[in-house]
Amino acid sequence: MGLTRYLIRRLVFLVFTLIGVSLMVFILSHMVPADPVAANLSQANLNNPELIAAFKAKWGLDQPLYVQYFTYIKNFLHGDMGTSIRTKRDVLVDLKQYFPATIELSIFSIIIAVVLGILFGIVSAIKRNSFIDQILRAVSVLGVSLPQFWFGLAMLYVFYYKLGWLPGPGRIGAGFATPTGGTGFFLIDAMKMKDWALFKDVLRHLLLPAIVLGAFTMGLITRTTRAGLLEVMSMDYIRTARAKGLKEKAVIMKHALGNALIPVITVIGLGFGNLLGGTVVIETIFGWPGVGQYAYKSATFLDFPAIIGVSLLIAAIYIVINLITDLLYGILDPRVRYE
Amino acid sequence: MENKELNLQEKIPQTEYKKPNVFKRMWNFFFNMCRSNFLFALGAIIFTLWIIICFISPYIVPYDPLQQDMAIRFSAPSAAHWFGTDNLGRDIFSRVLAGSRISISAGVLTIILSATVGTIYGGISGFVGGVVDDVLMRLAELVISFPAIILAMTISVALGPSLYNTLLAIVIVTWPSYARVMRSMVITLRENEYVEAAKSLGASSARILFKEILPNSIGPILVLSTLDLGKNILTFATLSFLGLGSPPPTPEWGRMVSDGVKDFAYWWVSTFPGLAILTVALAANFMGDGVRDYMDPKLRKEI
Amino acid sequence: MKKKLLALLLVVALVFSLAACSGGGEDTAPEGDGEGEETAVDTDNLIIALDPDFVTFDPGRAYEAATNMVFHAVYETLTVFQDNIEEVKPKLATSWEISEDGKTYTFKLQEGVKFASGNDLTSKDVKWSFDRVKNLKSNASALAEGIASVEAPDDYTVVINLNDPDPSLLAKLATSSFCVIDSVLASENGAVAEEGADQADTAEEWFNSNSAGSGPYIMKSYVPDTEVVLEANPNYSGEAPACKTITLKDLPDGNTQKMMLQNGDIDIAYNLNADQAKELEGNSDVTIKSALTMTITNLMMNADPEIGGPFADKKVQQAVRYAIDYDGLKVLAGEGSVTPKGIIQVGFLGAADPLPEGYRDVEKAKQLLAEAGYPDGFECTLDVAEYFSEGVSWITFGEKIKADLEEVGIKCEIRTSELMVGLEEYRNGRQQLAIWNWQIDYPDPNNQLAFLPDGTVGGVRMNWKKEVSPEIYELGENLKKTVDTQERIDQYTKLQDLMVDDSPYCTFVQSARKFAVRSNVQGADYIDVYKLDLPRISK
Repeated sequence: MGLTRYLIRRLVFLVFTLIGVSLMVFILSHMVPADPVAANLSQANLNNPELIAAFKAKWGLDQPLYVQYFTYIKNFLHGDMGTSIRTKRDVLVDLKQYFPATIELSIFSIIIAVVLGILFGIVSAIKRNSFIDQILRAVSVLGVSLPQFWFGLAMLYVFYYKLGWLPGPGRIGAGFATPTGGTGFFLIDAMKMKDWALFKDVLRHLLLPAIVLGAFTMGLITRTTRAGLLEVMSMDYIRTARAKGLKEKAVIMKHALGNALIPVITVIGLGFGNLLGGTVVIETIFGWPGVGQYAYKSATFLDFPAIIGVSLLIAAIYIVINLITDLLYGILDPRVRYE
Repeated sequence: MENKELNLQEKIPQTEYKKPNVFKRMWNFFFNMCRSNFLFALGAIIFTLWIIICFISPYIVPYDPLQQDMAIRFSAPSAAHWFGTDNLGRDIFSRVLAGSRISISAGVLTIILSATVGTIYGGISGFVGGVVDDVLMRLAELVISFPAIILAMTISVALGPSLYNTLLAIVIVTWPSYARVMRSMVITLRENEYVEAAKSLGASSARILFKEILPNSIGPILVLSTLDLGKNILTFATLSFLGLGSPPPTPEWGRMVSDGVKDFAYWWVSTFPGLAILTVALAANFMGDGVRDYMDPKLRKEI
Repeated sequence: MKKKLLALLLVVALVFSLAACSGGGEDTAPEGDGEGEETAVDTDNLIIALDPDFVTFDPGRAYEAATNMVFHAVYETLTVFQDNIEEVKPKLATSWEISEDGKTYTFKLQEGVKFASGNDLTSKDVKWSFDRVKNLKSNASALAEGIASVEAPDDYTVVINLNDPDPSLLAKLATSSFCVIDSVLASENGAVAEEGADQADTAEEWFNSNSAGSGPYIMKSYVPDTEVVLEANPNYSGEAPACKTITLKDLPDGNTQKMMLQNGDIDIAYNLNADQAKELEGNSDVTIKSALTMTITNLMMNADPEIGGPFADKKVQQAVRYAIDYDGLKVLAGEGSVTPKGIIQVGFLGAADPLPEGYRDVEKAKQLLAEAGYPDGFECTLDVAEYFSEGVSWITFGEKIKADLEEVGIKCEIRTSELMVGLEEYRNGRQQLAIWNWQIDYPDPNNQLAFLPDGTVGGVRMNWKKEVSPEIYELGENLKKTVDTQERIDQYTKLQDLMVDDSPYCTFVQSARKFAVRSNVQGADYIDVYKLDLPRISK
């Protein structure tokens, strides 16, 4: 059956890509013109060749590059992603700590982007070429044109610094204790603990960064929804529905929207994938201890195991999301066939 | 009988149809777009304005963008300094104007390079087909499987922060989309009747590629380029914000925004460069949208 | 259709406003009115926001500045600094005697001190801790290099034998490398002190979540990149500290710290730069603290002609020292900063007076350059890492210095790099001209001798060989062993005079540090070696 073969092909591709990514990152990180040895040992110790050798042996840096690579792959298959040179913990433990923060933020951003995007797209399409349409189209282009880092700073300045309506950087307020031992998703943890004050606080902290992150995807979704809806509404079967005497509302909601939203799924999928990987700057500005920040700190610290671990994780998620998106698209759009 | 034919031939004037040259066609296209689409026209005006500023900035800056003056650090916008001064007393208005050179040309240059590289790559891949096509495409998809910013950041850090390395990083991250588009165009058009006809007439592969396929693929590539222009400008600004770009004290909008981060209260340091980036990206996106809207229904009609 | 859309819009707006305008106290009001009903001052919990460089909490291995703050609260040392770093005071050691030749120190320990675990603190713990830091061969071991052996003749006496007399030993003993660790508890968790500890010791991970000290606090938890939580030690032998818990929150952004301080969300904002601190002036809920730190930032020139080029020439070095606009750099570094006369910081024994205003002399610089054979100046590369000195970016310093040097004809191209990347080039002595700072390892001017020819900084990184400046080298060797205070002052004075004409450095600023605390916080004063004396802070 076409679908199974397609799935298998994509999964094989996933593995293939992960290997490729790991190779790429491995080579890249070792191309950096700097030596973690010099970066991590004190000056006194650098004059001591014994200590340098000990450090290298400990982190496996004395082996030739291909040996290091295969050692890494071997360990990886056993679930060991190495130890971070910076935090001194297992990279896997680090990722488990940082990952939920990014996911929570990304999901929240996507929800905002989807809700607003589809809403604006529908209104825009229905009231085509009216004043409202122009405004909404300008807003969507604005969303796509805003430099995210600047937008984040500006929002912080206005809503936190000047107006004080929303809290500042961080996932929770300074007065709350970090929920430990939970899922890492603070919204869920707060619900489990039935701590509604905490829940509200987490929500409020999520709002600003989510809006900033979601702006770009919202712009794309608005655009795609509008275009898709316009295209569908000019089709024959819609005219038929109208001729049959159905109310406009039913026409749109039941017949047009479904098909119009199919291309939007691709956009959402792509957007989500981008969110997960592209949050470096926003996480830094909003003090969000997520994967983006971890990636940045690891990159600047020359923490090779961490860099590779993060890259693999992000690439894997990105590919999986794209796969799911493509599958969904295939299921929903009868025009697509899998060879 | 013969008389009638000769008469007709004499009566029908022979008009020579000269295909207007490429540039005239492009200008007509541009002009029509402006007339039909308000936002496109707006974008085009703003973008052209910035391009002009790019060229003439050394002549119109009120102050030397590199001139420091510790006595007037962090002065608010005033008549003397329209955008205020930064932490070393430099005039921000002058720096924003001067910064347009790098910030805008970075976007344009990377687009041209990515499009060229990607088009050639995808063209070859699609044309040759078979295993070569598979391998080349897998390689391209490998690059896409990576969120752009992280890859660009890693490359820049690995090679060392400099303008050229950052541009290279952006090109590396963006060329695959062009390759994919070009490849699918090539594959579609390969089956085209014109191509088959040309082949049966004995035309060489190269001739087919250049004369038949390439001109017809320009459309989608152009759309992609104009859409990506805004995105590339933003990507470059982001990398520059992270400190990967021209070395200081060269004015670059992204870096200027990051300079102002520590001293929030002096809002003008970050705001004006940020607005500059915004207006350029907006203009580029208006134009890109216009081109895409124009192309889309047209393509649909052709199908 | 319209009604449904409208409804949807309303719902969205409702959600937003619910989230934004909800009460919940501290986070809303921008002006600190945190003293309301629901947000009464919590005297038990002190919250400090900072930008830490934590790497490890193993006293035998830690080498970072911020870790000292935590160690001072959690562990105790033989000697200690209180209020200032001029004079060492007794702590775990109630008294000490120094032998004639200066190589043997005998300490009498305080009796009845217990660790947080309940174990007694005796000389065996001191010996164990000191042996361990030496045998671990870690970044912290450098300070223990001069120690030949440590003996514990009886439970409350410790004898330290040195290889050479060392006037700075007592100062070193007050730092985190010589924290006294609970040997019993630590050994149970994999710590090893004997020879071979560098291979056998596995306690580092344990130390990152636990502490084994006798100080007023214990380390409750450490979440990397997030926070460190300290709790009062119930078994503390001395007076209990005022704050029951201290949370050190990871908040690198100065603006965020400032805003959170204004809102009352945190008690101390430790990472403000001068401009951010200035913005807080006039706010009665907040008090700005200012202190001169021992952090100096240097423009370093490579003395190797092949790498440094023109900078290897002493006349060029002098020219650079006259070309820099120190006054402007002080403005950048913040109010309270000074320009030391060379590498001995103001505040140290034997330090000369700081350079006066207007020391810069562009004409003299040009003249010196011409004498050296560069009447039209020359081109060079200035390496600047992306890092900060007390909140001021080195890149900012670099841009200013570039403009200053251009005025005398030296045209530099700034080359930025990530800290780690730059560190490697720097430590391998490959940089022509670079900006690097120096934070002291222990509060004694002997720490600065590393800058001298063949020292760990001067010799290795800037290729300053003793053959080039033999007199300075000899002076340095003497100072390492001189114990008499007046002699040390005289020699340091001479050293600084010599280095005015002969040194590959331009120490362009000694930074002041500003930070801010809520006005109800007491005792939060800066002390360079521990940063903040945590146990003495109260709300």
